[in-house]
This record gives sequence, structure tokens and C-alpha cells, in this order.
Amino acid sequence: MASAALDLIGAARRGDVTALGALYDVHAARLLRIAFRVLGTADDAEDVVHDVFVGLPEALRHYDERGRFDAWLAQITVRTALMRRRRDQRRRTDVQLDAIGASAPEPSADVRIEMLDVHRALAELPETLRDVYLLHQVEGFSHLEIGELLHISPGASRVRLTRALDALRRLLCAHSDDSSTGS
Amino acid sequence: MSRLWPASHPTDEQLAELARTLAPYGDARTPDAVDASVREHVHACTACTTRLHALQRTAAAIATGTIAPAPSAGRRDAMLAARARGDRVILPTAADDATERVRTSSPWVRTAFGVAAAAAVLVASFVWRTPNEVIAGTTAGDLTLSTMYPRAGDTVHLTYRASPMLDRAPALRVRARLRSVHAESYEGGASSVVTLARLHRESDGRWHGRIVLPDSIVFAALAVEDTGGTDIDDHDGRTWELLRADGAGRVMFEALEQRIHDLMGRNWEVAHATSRQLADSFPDDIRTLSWERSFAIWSGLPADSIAARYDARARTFEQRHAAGRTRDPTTIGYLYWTSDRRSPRGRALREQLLRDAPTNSFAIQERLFEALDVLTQSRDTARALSTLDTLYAQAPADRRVQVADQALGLAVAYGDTASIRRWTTRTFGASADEERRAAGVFVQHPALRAEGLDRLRRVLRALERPDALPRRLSERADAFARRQALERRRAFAALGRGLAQSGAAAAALDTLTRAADGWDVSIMRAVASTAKTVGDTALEARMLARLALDPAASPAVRDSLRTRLRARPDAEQLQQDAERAFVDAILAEARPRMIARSAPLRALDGAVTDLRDLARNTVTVLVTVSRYCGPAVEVLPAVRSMAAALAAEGIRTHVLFEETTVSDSLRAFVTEHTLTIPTYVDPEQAGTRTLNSWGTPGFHILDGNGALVFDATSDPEVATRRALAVRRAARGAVSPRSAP
Repeated sequence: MASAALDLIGAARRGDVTALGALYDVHAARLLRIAFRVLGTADDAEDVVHDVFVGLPEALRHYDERGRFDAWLAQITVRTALMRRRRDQRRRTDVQLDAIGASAPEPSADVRIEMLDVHRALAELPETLRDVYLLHQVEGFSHLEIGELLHISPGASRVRLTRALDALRRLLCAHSDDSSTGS
Repeated sequence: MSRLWPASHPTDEQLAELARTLAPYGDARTPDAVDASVREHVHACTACTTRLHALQRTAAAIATGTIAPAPSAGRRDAMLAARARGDRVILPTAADDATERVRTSSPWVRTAFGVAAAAAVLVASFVWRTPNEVIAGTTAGDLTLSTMYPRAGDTVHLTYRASPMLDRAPALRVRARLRSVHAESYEGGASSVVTLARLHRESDGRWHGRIVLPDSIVFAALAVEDTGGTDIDDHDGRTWELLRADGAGRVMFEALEQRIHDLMGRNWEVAHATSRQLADSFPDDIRTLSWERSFAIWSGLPADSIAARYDARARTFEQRHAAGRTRDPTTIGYLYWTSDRRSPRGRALREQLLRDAPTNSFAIQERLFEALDVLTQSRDTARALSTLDTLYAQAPADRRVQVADQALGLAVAYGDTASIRRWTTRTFGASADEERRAAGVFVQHPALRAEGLDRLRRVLRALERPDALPRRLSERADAFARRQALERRRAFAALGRGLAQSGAAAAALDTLTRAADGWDVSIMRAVASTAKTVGDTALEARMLARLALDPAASPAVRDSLRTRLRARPDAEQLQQDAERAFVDAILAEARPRMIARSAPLRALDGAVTDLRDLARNTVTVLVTVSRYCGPAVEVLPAVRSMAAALAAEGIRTHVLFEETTVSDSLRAFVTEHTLTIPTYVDPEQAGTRTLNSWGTPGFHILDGNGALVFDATSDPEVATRRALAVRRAARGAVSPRSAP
């Protein structure tokens, strides 16, 4: 890791608010997306990111610089988000479609329909499958890491991913058929 | 049919893994193995390429089609404001790699231990426990609290991810050092250590429990341990903390104040930071000024920003409460205490304090000083003791100890039996060590000696019980047992001395022999002196040989003792016995841990070396210090002396500053303090983590074979003894009794 980045991390570890603010500037947006994918609501996701940065100086004592910092942060964010979800017991049954692509460049109509299809399908997945799919396919965690995050075995993670892919395929087929026959 | 999902070959899982590995947006830092044949197949197969693209597009649709990429306006400031007002969140951090390695007992670790075991041959390693389980820096697990700031009656839920050290324990419990509003600084005082919760392992592999703090408790420091107290996870000395919040959820003044008390002796810098937090949270409370004043004085840096900040706040309070205008006793007391007491304003405030608030804590202290001043003029001890009786009756709880301490000294000097009895009762508590100290006072006074001896015998009987002394929060069972043994030896020494003074020579000798084990300089002196009184020259010589060997003895004392001993025919044997006793006693406290991870340290000239290389082949003392810690700055002259003394024994000393870069100001500091010892900074803070260093100064002993031998100490005298014991054992000059 570049020494400037290490210095920043070191300073944040010591409670330097300027360094903490700088880390926030670099990482908060990405962590917000990650938290949102796990929790499904922007408010909850923002709360999680808030908590992650408030607790970061103390948590950094456990950070071993040999690993990638952004990956380590992502893991903590996922853990914190999962904890929050378990605590709140507020299971989402739908996705905030309004938020999709809110600030991204305006996609084409086809792409937007595709994105809506995907998000609807994702929302219909059971939480256990959706978590594994998001963590593996979108966030890039390995099955070993997912196992640790979700307290399941890597084998169980693989099985859930297969089931998630299968379910997504069926759901997307159904959405696609709806689109072609209806509106 | 969806455009995204045509049917075809390899399994979805295989393709998903390939898509993940290729993803530009995911971390994918530890890709699971993707079979090369799958890659080749996909490359050659149009259908599978389409499927792969479908998977990638699906994930990309989720990755890119999401909420706004930046958090809401104001969130960043809200986060920083939360930090500034002291909010903390304990995050579920991942286990570090080293921890995992220990748990899984990988070949890497086995090799490391194998090499270390082979290197740490013969002499030193059999003296202490084989370091087969604990790696330096990996003793802490993660305790997650549902809240750090419980209100009265709130249940705090605990989730503990055990360190490798504790994960195999059949049961775990949470102990706490509890502090009410009147608890004093340091670990003792009015604080108490109790078991607050039992933890139960649940199906998630974590340990769970819950606690409710008693209403009278405003601060608690927590640690997790096995039920035997064999291993303790105290967060590497930090402990986990609970601070009482008021009904509105705001951390209470008393909670923060007790945190400062609790941090005394553990981490001066964090205590100071807490005092600032206290002042920031309660800017209008004059009591905060006293803490800031204390830290400004303790820092020893008059020009420092600490003093400047204090001065500014003091002026604010001065302006707000012009002398004579306020009537609140607490405010008058603090205004006086934080004023320049020799100035006209200080004198006016003193007058007002004694007139308007004579039983205020600061007023009691002033009246105590006044009574002692009167005594030096009048020499009327009886009158002074009478005055102190009145003061004691009027004093608030936080001031009584000071009054009693002074009065007991006067009573003993005066020799009045009734006064000694009364003030001893007021000075000492009921625990076995306090009772022993009280009995020690009685033994010194002829009229109370018999009673004192009886009390000492009761103390010795009590010390046979495992619960005679309270076990400290971070004190492992073996260390606790050593402290109990030390307390017994102290009681035997006091009893022996009393018996000798009573003329019971035979009983005194028998008792003193039982006090003579271990290595406690004050006990050795007491035993030597009493042995001489009763005519046991052999025991006296044994003790003198030990005192001559102790590194704390001044050169003059050492030479004098050696000259006396040299005249004896058994001088050489005495010397060897003393050496063996020294090594045995000091190494009994060893808790060796292997340094298995890399920890780069940067010297002032920019050269980088690894912590393990620093101590290779040579016993080394590594001193961790901070420029911003008063006690650490204060100890630097002692570090210089220690380094010079140890160098003569072939032991190196290094200083590690808890800073990440070599700055000009650090160089200036080193020059100013004439530190010619090799000095380093910790660019990645891996050094302090490996050393489990929290709070400075910390003296760490490395044995030259890759092991950190003891828990850190803040006492250079203790460090010197430890380094010498390791050196002598490793050199083979001494064959410890515990050798096979």
C-alpha cells in the first residue's frame, strides 16, 4: 500500500479527524452502495456507513496492513449491515426502485428495463440466497469469506449461490415474458 | 425468454465464479480457484460465453444501478461531530490473519514454532512455559456491546468472538471493574471487580451474554476470561468499557470522570483525551477545570498547548465568577484550587472558602495543612490529633483518606495507643493485605505488639483462602497466586520481625525462613535485619548476598555488602545461591510469546529493520514511549541509566516512539532528552500491536530467540531485573532449579 495511504490510516487509527474525513471522502460512497445492497433502504445504509466511520479509529487496531484496506472496509461494512438487519428484524420485501440509477448517467430504455427486471427479481429472492448472490457476484467475496460473514460453511455458500442463480434465471424469464406480453 | 439467460453447459456456479473473478467492480481479491478448462471452454463455446455475459450483465446491473453514489449532504460532518463528542461504535472487525493461523494450526505456524523451539535451546526455554499457543499480538478477541452507554436499568447484550487463546475454553465469563462516583484513581480505590455475566456459545460460534449494571455504577471496565482465570482477554490492556448515560442518553459527567480515574496507571494519553472530552461535553462545569489543570501540570511542558488551553478556560471561569460573587461551595472550592494560590485573588478565595464552605473537600485539605503548620510551631501533637479528629468527621468521603493518613503518622510518632488503634481502623480496609498493613503498625508499638502478632496470624490464616485478596481485572490466576504468595511472605516477615522484637528468637527464625523465598527487596532487607537481631548469621548472609546482587542496589551498597560477604568461607556458594534464587524468582513471572509476524521499525536515520531482527541473538529491552505521555517523558532519564547498566551485561536497549514518521520535531525531542540509545518509530504500528502495547512507558523484554518473555512493565527497575534474569539464564551461567 502507498505510504500516503498508510499514513492516512495510521492517523485515523490515532483518532485524527482530518484523516478520518479523508478516508470518508474516498470510501464512503462505495461502502454506502454495499450497505444499501445488503439492507435495501438508503436511510439504513447511511446509518451503517456513519457507524462504520465513527467506529473506524478503534477498529483499525485490528487492521493488518497486509490486506487490502478497501476490501477490509467492505467486509466490516457488510458485517455491520448484517448485524443491523438482524437487530432490526426489518426484512425488505421490495427494492427502492426510485433509487435505482438516481445519479448515474441516464441509461437507455432497454437497459433501464433490464435493470428494473434484475432488481425486481433480486427483491423476490429469499434473503438467504440474495445475500450470497450479492456478496459473491456483486461485491466479489469468496465463498470462504461469505461463510465467515454469514456464519455458514463455504459449501453452504456455494449451494445457496447455485440456488440463487437458478431462481434468478426463472424470475427473469418470468419478468421477460411479462414485459413482452403486457405493457 | 429472457435475453439474459440462455441455457447451456458448465455449471452456473463455475460460470458465476468466473464472472466474479473477471468483475471490474467487485473486490475479487481472493478468487476461488477457477478451473482452466472452464475458461477454455467458455472461450471456445458461444453459448457459454453468452451465459457468462448474462451473469456479468446481471451483476453489473445491480452494481451500477443503485442509489446515489455519494452519501447525503451533512452525513460526513455528522460523523465527525459524533466522533468529536465521544461517540464510539465497536465494529465487528474481521479476525486478523495471525489469529486465523493460530486457530487452524497451519504448517506455517508449526514451522515457526519448530524453528523457534529449536533456537531457544536448552537453558532458557525450560524455565518458563513453552510458548506453544500464544503468538505475540494475537491475544485479543472482539467483544461487541449493544451499547457502550447504558442508561439505568438498560440491558447490554454482549457478543464475543473469542481470540484463539480463549476459543477452546469450555465456558467464559465477563468480569468488570466497577466504579461508583466516589471511586479513586488507579485499579484499587473504591472500585471492585466482580463477575458480571456468563457467556454461552451459540450456533453462530460466538459467545453471547447480557449484563445490567447496578444503578450505583457509572463506569465499568470489562474483560473476558475462562472460568479459572487462567487466560484473560482484556483487549490488550484497553478493556472494554461501559459509561453510564443519563435518561436522555447523554454520557454522564461522573462516568467520564471515573473513566479518567480508571485509566490512571494504564494510559495517560487516553486519560488526558478523556479529560478534554469531559471539558468539551460539560464546558460550564468548573469541575472539568481541575482535571485539565492536573494534566497541564503532569505534562511538565509549560509552553505546551495543554497549558495554553487550561489557561484560557481558567480565565473564562475567573471572569464568570469574580471573587466573592459566587456562593456555591463546589464552585468556590474549584475556583480556589485552580487559582494562583499565592496571588491576592487566590488568598481572597481561600478566605471565602474557609468562611463560606468550611467542609468543602478543598477547605478540609486547607484546614489539614493549617493544623500541621500549627503543629510544627506548637509541638502539641495531642491538640493536632484532636483537630484532625474533627476534620475527619467533617470531611467528605474523597478527603478522609488524606486526613487519616496524616493522623496515623502523627499517632504512631506520638505513641498513643488509643489514637493508633482509632486511626489504623480509619486508614485500612478489611481485605487481607490492608489488615496485614494495619497489624504491621501495631507490631511496631510495644503496647500493641501482642495484638498485632495475633492479627498477623489471622492474616496468614486468611491468606490460605483463595478469596482472601480481590483478584484484579487483568490478573491471571498464576499472577494472582504469586501476589498472594508475596502477601504471605510479607506477613511472615512482619510476624518474624515482631516475634524477634518480643524476644521469641526461635519462632522468629522459623517464621523468617518462610519469608525468605521469592525476590522482594523490602522483605529481604527485613529478613536480613531480623536475622541479625536474633543471631542467625547464615540467614543474614543469604539475604545480604541477594541484596548485593539486586540491580537496584547502589554501587556503594553493593560494594559494601560484597566486602562483608567476601570474608565468609562460603562466599562463592552464597553468590551462586543468590544468582539461582534471582533467576528462579524473576522468571517465574515469565509469559513468553513468539513474535511470529513482521513488524518494520524505522530508525531516525531512515533505515528500516524488523522487530524480530532487532532482538536477534541478544537479550533486548525495547521501551515504548510517547512524547505526549507525561509519565513516559518523565521516565527517560531512568531509561538512559538502565541502558548504560544493561549494556555492561551485554543487553541492548532500544526505544520505540509510538509515531509513524521520523519528524524534525521528534529528532529535536530526542536531542533535547539526550537519548543516544537506538531509537525507532513504528511506521505501520505493527510493532506496538505485536507487543500488545497500550499506554506508555512500556518495557518489553525480548530473549534473542524470537520470544517476548514477559508482559510489559512500566517500571524500569522491574525491567532491569527481568532482562538480567533472562540474560543470565540464557548465558547458562545459572542452572535454574526448575531445570530437568
